[in-house]
Amino acid sequence: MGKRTPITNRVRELREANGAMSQAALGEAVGVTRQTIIAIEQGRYSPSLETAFRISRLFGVGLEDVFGWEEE
Amino acid sequence: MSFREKSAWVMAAVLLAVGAFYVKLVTVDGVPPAAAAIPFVLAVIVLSVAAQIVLAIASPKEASSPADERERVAIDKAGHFSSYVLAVGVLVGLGQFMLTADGNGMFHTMLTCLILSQVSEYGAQVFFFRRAM
Repeated sequence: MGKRTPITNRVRELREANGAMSQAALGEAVGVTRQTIIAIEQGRYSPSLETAFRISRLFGVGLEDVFGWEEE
Repeated sequence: MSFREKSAWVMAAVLLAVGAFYVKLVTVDGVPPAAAAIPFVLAVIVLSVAAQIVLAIASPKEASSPADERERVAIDKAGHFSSYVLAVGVLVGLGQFMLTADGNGMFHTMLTCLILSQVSEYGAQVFFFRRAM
């Protein structure tokens, strides 16, 4: 529902590449709800810089390996 | 559906149901302000607490966790939106009193608008929980 944010991400891909980690487990690891992880994956919510860093560090990759910018 | 979205739905339902009861007391039964407001407030408190207990029993982990960053933004935006509903209600109530000098009427208008602003806040929460931010 609603307009997607211009920030793209590879959260789902990285989650699946890391032992098919569940959305709930990722949410718990970075301090957000499962619904927020779903919203991030669907491009409905741009996470805070802190959460973005937490996600990238959890997967052991750089911030720009997880998040990108899509020109409007 | 998240715990907070369920909570918003339940609170909106409680306020609509009890609000309808209040409006019936005032419009159909002609009950004066204090006699209508006291049972309204008591019913809202009792039903809200009961509903929150049931929700917390169903999702104990989520109930004890604070709102996360996305939920906090949604809750803040919804509160901002509902403040306009309340402000309109206050202005209508004041205008009503200026024109009619009816204190009871002003009380009922303002309490009804307080109920509507709360319902609009929960409705806006559900909207912002679901849409892109």
